[in-house]
Amino acid sequence: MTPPNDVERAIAIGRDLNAWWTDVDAGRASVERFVLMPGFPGGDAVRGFFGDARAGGATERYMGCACDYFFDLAGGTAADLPQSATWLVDQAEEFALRYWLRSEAWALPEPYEEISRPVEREVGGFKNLMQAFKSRVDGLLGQFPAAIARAIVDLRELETTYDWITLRRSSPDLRVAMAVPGSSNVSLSAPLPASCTLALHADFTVRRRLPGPGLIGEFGTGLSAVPPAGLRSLVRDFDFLQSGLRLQTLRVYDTGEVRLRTVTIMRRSPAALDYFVMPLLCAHATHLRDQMLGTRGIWQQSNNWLDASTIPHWLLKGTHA
Amino acid sequence: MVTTNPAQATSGFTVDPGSAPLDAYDQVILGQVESQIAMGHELKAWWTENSDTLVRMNRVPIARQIHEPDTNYGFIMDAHLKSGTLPVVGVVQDQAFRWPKLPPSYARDTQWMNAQLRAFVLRYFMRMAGTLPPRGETAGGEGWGYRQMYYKLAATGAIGKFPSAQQTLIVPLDEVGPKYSWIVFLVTIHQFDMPFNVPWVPNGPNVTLSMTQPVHTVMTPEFLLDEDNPEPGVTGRWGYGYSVVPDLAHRSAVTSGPSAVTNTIETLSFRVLDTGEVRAHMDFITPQPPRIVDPVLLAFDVADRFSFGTASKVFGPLKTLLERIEPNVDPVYFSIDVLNTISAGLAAQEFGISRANLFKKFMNLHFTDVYKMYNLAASHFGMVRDWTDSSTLPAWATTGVYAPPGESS
Repeated sequence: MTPPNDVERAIAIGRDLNAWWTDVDAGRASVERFVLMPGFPGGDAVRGFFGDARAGGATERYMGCACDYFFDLAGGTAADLPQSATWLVDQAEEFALRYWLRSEAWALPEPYEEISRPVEREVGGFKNLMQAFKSRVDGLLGQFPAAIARAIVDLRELETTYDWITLRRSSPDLRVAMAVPGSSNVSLSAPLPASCTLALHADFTVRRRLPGPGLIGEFGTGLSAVPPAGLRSLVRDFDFLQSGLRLQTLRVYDTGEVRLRTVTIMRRSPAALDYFVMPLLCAHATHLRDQMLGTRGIWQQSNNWLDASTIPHWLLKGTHA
Repeated sequence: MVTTNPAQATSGFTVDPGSAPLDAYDQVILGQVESQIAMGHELKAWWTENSDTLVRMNRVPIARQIHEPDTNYGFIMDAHLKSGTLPVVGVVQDQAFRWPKLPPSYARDTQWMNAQLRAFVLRYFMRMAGTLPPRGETAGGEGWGYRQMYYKLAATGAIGKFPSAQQTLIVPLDEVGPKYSWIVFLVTIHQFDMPFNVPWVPNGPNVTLSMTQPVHTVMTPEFLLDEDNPEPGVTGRWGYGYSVVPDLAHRSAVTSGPSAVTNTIETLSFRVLDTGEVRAHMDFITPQPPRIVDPVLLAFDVADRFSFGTASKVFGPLKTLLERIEPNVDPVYFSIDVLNTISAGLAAQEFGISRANLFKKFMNLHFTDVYKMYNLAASHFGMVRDWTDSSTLPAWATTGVYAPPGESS
């Protein structure tokens, strides 16, 4: 179990980084921005950034990327729009706060093998498992039973039941690939064991209606990375996310469009490793985009996220399959 | 050979005066079109008659899916055609495409939804089924990229080639029939990759063979689907299909690759259910490949890699000789047969080493590629509120080429 003090410290750093990014968004703080990848259908150009932020009592070099993707558009004719957009706000809130973290891992279609062997389903995206919590009621610490670890609690419970929750996040489909020399059509790939611990806190939960011009709803969360102790962090933790914050929100516009916004802020690697920064950020943004496509596919599976009878059973139970 | 006077008759057909110049390669492709149309129509007739009966009786699972009611199945059987018996394999799949979100109390306007899907499928789908992913300098395509290459005019019977500037401006598919007797499309199936995994190690290391190849296909009016209320519970259905036209000039060690197949048809269709859900469907039927690998080409391919391309040059005459005299033996089939013979069938039973499993692997590969392409196209379909209003469409739908903001197409 991650030491509670480490969790509290990660949350404090996350809180500072969240405030810093709010200032960056509002133009009160500056970062060096650059285009990581060109735009694509439904997505603006992915922008990376470098900046100095004061977090956890120290000013550090940070880097990251900000992405904005098309997620959905309210159905119906233009005449249906005002009502359907308002209704979509409730849908986005329910999905973002109750189901999103469960739906970040999805089972991919996989070949059917006739030979008998136990099936271990390949999963794409991010697999989130709840680990520990601190009660908001009495301050007691506890651990979630493994049997319900995948059924991530409704994030609105962070306002009533839990002070914080830790998640173990892994990325089963993150692979490193390389072309075979002399061949353009043969490549080798191997899984990249990758996982990290993230903390959820009510201060990171986004739950806003009419937050700004053209916006009629914004819902989501922030995940603050809890750096592991020791050498393991250098070898196994993906994205060099030693400490930092990942923000992800669904924004509903009065046009009926829903867009996904993600911001990743991570400690900038030492200057000697600058050569690897761009490929690292590109790989991170690409993986995020692929993950988003999978999650959007799950969002499409139900036409009413407030009606449990239309929601995939595995998602209700948090079983992945 | 370049046809300098496009109006002249060449290779037994009349060239449309508006055609782009035809070269020798074009002639090779066009020479295959009529025979593949005939074969495609024969296969389609067989499919229409048997898809709900014999095919279903012979179906085998191809892929595990969790999203209900998404389905898929394959089949391995003999198709008894008028021209003879053809051993075929194929795959059928059906998946969610879009479920527009509306308050449950709203009555869905099915006519409006039908108009949306019809416009998207018949006018824009082929322009928007593929794109460049946001992967910077490593960009390859995603989905399927379509280009219209050749046509036959219904009024005159003249054949032509679309000028390169028009090749991405796919014509409305319901013009196939009234205006065009047929159109040949070039389909680039991006990310057509076959992974070879370490047995019994899920998510383990693997070797991936990319089989991305351009494929020529010919669509005739018989493959156009444009139906209102085709069956109970379905308010409309639209789609297209085609016969594959082999590229005889394409040489590859993998003889069953997409560019090489003949006697193959594929149909892609979309339907609106009365619940408002939009679903996508695909049928693919192809002959069981007579062989998988050309041993001579494979040997020289490997030798060229180690000799920086000099092997084929130095031993060119030997290669030509071997290609002429090689027995029609496939090393893959041969290995499978030998393993099963010496193990009394255990190789197939215990390790899944059999021709049938190889066919299923190919069908799974095709299924996965279509599955991803449909998901990508579904996100593009969802981005526009009204596909019937051309003034509100993204430039990409108009030009057929996606250009990131700030870059011209």
